[in-house]
Amino acid sequence: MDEQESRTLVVPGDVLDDSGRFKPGPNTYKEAGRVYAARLGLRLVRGDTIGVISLSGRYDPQRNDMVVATVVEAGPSNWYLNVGAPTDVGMHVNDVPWRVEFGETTKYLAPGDTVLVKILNVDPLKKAVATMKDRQCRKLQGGTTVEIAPTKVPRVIGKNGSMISQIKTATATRTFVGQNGVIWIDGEAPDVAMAIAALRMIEENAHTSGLTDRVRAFLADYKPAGTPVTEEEFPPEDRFERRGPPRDRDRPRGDFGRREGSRDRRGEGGRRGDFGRRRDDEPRRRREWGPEAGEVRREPRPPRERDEAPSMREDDADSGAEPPARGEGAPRRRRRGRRGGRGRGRGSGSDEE
Amino acid sequence: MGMKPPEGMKLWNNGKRIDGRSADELRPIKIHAGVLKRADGSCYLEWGGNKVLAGVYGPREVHPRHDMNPTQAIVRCRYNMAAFSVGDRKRPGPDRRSQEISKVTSEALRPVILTHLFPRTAIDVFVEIIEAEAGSRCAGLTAASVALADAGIPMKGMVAACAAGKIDGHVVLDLAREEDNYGETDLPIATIPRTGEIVLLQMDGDFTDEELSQAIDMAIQACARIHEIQKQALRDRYKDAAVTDRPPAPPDMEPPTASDEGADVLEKPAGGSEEGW
Repeated sequence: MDEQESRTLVVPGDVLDDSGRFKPGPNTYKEAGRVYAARLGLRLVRGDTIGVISLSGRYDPQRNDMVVATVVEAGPSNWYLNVGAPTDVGMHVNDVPWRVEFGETTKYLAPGDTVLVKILNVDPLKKAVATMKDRQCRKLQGGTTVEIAPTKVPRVIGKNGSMISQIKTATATRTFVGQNGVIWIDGEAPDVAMAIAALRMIEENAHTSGLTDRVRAFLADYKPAGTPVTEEEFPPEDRFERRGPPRDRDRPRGDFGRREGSRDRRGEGGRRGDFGRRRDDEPRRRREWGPEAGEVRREPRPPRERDEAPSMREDDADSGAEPPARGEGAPRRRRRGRRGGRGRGRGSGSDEE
Repeated sequence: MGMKPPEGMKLWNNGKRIDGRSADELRPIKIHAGVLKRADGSCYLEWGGNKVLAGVYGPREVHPRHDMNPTQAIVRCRYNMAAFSVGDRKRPGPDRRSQEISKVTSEALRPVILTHLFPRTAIDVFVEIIEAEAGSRCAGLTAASVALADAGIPMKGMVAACAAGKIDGHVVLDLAREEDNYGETDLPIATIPRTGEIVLLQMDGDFTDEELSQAIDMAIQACARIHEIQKQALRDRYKDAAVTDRPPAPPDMEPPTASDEGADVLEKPAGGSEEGW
């Protein structure tokens, strides 16, 4: 029986195998020499085991899962995280990369914060504990989260991460898929909306085959928000010109991009670096209105390619998948958003990417 | 049960029942799985004049905590009849009858659910009777079982339920409203069709030994037929998945107003496309 042929929908109690050739795999049970399905899903034969790929159900935490969690409660020396499992998952202050004083947990993570954590251990009573002491773990700032059925996470990731890297590339978003079905997406609003639409499509069609190609077709002619507009799409004669006297920001930049008087106003003479100021080589972050004729409006997005397909579990790190246009602007954002750690003895490098 | 039929009403007429069915014929059954978005699993079922909605939540945290079992999940059920589900308005809220049905429903579902996989949790089943016409506990249990499977709860098999009964001295299957009201006996049965185990058996009225075994056999066979409909409903749920539409295009960005941009005046292109903004 080949793998494709065996993928039929089974309901609880269906006989998967009565020949005795197969061992019971996931979501099955064995009774009187027969293997039965225990859950609604697709029958799957792999080697000498026969199992069921579940199509629905809550997240069941497994050790070493990377999950996107929400802080629901902060105790004096621990946090409780909602990972979508039947019960909340605890995380002790010893399992975070910061030095947290007793009772000061909310200075680092407060209820409502979103974090990327790893499941450290699950005991036989299914009590799970999480840790942030892992290279990828961090507090997630900005972006949005989307929930899908945890059973459909493998389809969202795809073989060797093919599906998710395709979505990330096509929509120019930064994405992390948690094993618990919570997906964190960051990017320009239309790009995020497109990425969510693609994810919903995968979720609805998770039990069908040839999904990667369909998603590719779905995303084929989508242009991320930062894509430059070609002359053909938007001929110069259709553009409108701004009237009125030239504005300060439209003047040619002869002074290395500094605005007149900015040095005096800040009173620092730029000694400590140019925080908060846009450099000339940096693309503008917001959309512009009223371009001058011939002005280069947007930095063209250099083609990004991933030379190496990531593995299924650790595929979804967003390292390297950041659209450069955003990546350039990112440090400024991060500086603003950093909490805690500053001015303390220990470096808090791990909360950065 | 046991009421005198009105003048001229014959429940059994030349081998046909009041609604024209034969003795071992079921009322028409329609099942749809996955109808509620916020529930983990759900089912809508129509069985003759019964309309039932079942929702399953869980496994989830147990409240009150003292109900928690450290070794396995607890299965809780709430059977509720809508006030408008019957001819005379039903006073809303749990009453003796619905508490009993809630209890027997959860006890009928417990043997199939692999509760040991979810210690310290609860699996909650809600059965709402929107319209009732005899046999609503069987309809509710049948719907609850589909909703549980839809929720991805591991189970040894599914539960199907059906009533048998006696009208005018004849053993018949799946009593309709008049047969329930004016008939002699009602015998709801729920089975695990895979194993043939009986998980619910109640009786109102009386049977002789032979009639009882005949009724049980009849109901067990009917459960097997209902089980096929349940399985088909779950298969249909995943048969044709819709293709998602693209997100709506973002609303056209408004050009900055004068207050945003100082005294600058902006003009939109006359008839020009705003594509690409």
